[in-house]
Amino acid sequence: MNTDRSDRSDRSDRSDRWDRSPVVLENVSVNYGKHHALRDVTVEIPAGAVGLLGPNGAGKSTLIKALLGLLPPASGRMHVLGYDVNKAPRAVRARVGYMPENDAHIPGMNAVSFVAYCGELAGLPRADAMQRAHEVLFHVGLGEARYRNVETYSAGMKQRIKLAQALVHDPDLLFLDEPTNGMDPKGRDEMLALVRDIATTKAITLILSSHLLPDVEFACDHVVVLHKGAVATQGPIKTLKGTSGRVFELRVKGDEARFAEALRAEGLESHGEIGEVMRVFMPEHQPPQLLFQLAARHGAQVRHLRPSVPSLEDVFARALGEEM
Amino acid sequence: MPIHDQGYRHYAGERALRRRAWWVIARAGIMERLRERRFLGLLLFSWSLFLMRAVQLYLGTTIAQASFLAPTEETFHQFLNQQRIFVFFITIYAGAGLIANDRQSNALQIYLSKPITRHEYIAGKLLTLAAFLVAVTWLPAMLLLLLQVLFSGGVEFVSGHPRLIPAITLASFLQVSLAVMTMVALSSLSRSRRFVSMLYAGIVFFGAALDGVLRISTGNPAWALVSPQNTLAVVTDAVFGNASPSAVPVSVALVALGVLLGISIFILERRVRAVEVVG
Amino acid sequence: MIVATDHLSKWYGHVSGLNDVTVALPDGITGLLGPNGAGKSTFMKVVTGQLRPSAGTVRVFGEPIWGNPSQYQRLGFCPEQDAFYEHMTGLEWVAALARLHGMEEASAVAAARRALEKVDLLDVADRKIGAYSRGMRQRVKLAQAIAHDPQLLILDEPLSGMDPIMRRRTIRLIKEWGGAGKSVVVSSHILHEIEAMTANIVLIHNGRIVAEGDVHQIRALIDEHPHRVSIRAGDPRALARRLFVDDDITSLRFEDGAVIVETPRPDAFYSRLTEIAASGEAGAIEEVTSPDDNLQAVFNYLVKP
Repeated sequence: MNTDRSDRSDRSDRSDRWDRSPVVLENVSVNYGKHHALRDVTVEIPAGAVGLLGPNGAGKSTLIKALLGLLPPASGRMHVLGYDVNKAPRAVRARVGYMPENDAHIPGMNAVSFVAYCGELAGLPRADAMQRAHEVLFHVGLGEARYRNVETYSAGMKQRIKLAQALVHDPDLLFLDEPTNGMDPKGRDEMLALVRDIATTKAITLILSSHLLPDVEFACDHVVVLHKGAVATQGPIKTLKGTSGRVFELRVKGDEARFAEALRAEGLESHGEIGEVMRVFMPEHQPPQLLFQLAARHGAQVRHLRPSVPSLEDVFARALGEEM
Repeated sequence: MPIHDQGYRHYAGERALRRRAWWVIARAGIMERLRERRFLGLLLFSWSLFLMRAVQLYLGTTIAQASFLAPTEETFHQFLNQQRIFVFFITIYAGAGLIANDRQSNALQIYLSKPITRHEYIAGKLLTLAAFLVAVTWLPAMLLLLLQVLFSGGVEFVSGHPRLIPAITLASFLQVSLAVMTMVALSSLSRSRRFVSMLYAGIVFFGAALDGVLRISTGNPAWALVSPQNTLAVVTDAVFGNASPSAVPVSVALVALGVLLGISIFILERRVRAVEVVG
Repeated sequence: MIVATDHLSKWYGHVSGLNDVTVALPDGITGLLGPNGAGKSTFMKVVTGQLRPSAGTVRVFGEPIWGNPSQYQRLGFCPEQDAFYEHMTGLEWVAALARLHGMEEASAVAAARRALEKVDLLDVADRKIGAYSRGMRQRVKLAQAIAHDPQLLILDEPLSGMDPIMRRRTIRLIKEWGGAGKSVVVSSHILHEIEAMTANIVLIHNGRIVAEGDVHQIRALIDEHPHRVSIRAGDPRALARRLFVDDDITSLRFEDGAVIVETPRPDAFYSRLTEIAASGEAGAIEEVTSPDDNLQAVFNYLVKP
């Protein structure tokens, strides 16, 4: 019943859009009363791990609700995993897992019962649901605690169980809303590693909505940035970040004053405090070896040297037309 | 392969295309209540009247000197009326938290992101409470009828009162529906089970009290419509052929009940909404 | 020292919140870190005078803080919980709290406006808090903490719920306050954001202080974990051959085209590496980074599960 295959080509109950991206929106507009939450959005979300970014109120949660078939669009069409969301919303939800941002659980159940119940609600037969529940709870790291009542769980455990209930029915697509909410640094690392593992090795497409850009940078390969109900930018993270220019991050230790003077004497422009990470502008075609030479000659050690690459924050800010 | 993959595995088993969610929800709700000893005690206690009636039936049908204890249609009518107190307590115990607890723990976000409709969710909740209420109204009443047949050794009583079975069924159905619809609707209004209990109890008692006071002071039986319980009683009386001529006409009572049901449905439609799902 | 505790303990029945904590927080910005349940919130509550120490003393601005309301004016606290009078507008609420801190009506309103402007909420100041989004609620909490211009700010997860732009702005705001001579104690789980604000930290675990001071100094002192250095070179093997010659590395491996070494003597190693790179004898050296000379590493190494 369980399979190790990650190849999913045997889907005969799907339209032939399966070969396209898992999520396709065409001219989708969604309104909340008079508020235009999504305006004429057209976007294709590729398979893999995709980050969904945007300031508060940009339309991220509206987009997720609409894709789950919970919010009918005023216009446009949406296809998730080959299904038309308007025509077959339950078929979509049967193949999609959702991990909510806020604490959510079914009262009065222990972890295993809760996750098995969610499996049954998703259409699994009772015995299969129970078995999957055990497996998935081990997978998210709650194996030891699976007979405990969910209400006694710590913040990190609550996050994990939300992930477990989203995975129990083996979805093809997973929506994660702030998955590391409230977790301490160790928990965050573990959760991000889990998330990354799911996306890369288990062939499950991930849409991760978060305000923590380093999380998104770690776990995702693509991003979609929403702003005021429209797509501000989208694409592979690497491409959006672009290539590095001739700026280097540099930190030295030692006779710092002497080194700073040497930099100036060499005519190299630099920003930042000496002793901390600075940004140094190198002329075209000048290899960084010069910086090592300057350091060696003037009593300093190079402790950190790296071509400066724009961060996802810069991409985000640029997309919103903001000054960071 | 000697070493098996310990990690996450995909699922290639069956996925139900038939909609069963309402049953899954109802079953979970029923099992959750049955695990509580206090509730089991309450259910058992709700059958105490049944036991007394069973003894009465036995004596009435088998011992000639006790023939005054023999059952009539009224016996069953009275039995159902007397069960009302248990219906009240069970409705509050098992019903107040049905949706309120889910609102409190934000469970609606989980439910509605599964492939179920909100109507299935509501149906599952209604069924949970209905199951218990049927078990203390229709079920014991029918069992009493069965016992009557067994003790008297024949079906004359039943065939002599052809209206009885439909009457028991209809009366139970109305009582259960009214309790279930109003309680589940109230439960959807709040996050606090206690508040819902008080609200329900308030409506029942306040309605009855108001009805009593106004009927005495104005002499007008139409005030029964203020109390859901008493309105229902009017209909039940009619069903058992016992309508009091001074009471409110049955058609009016039915309309009143219909209005109450309509309001409950309206409340449920508004309060259990998908828009609540994603935060 | 703006906050000084001496053998401070706090327990709730059998549950130990803080266990014999002796620490002195300097002026400026201090990051307060620790796993969930470590005692950070307890520490903050004791420092703001909301909880009475079970044992030991807490001095803020040199004076005991418990039962000393005159000191409260100099403190601003932004708690983690989200609890407001929803029917009040942002301005009303912040002004009310400013008045509670002893300001007169007119100046309280003016101060509230200034505070709201600082957190970019001036345009929605007259809207009810019930209508605010999550990020706005977080910002109004910050506004009430700064409205009465306190000398010491205690902030518990101040950035939670904020989008990336606002996070950046708030970090900048906090650094400004530090630069303007105020002291700030910030607690957060997002370590790289703490790093962006300050290098001075206090790490709490199981109710006890595990480490305090400058992040890099702490790192340097953690001997069981030799420094890891990642070097991206044009010819990794040549570099490896050259590095093996001396004995200041304990381990060397290749990963993704980089050479990763571990060294217990970073000073000696970095000097040698700079020389090698300068002379070009082992080819071009393109990148030198230390993946574990940061707060995350300090946290991981010191907080045993």
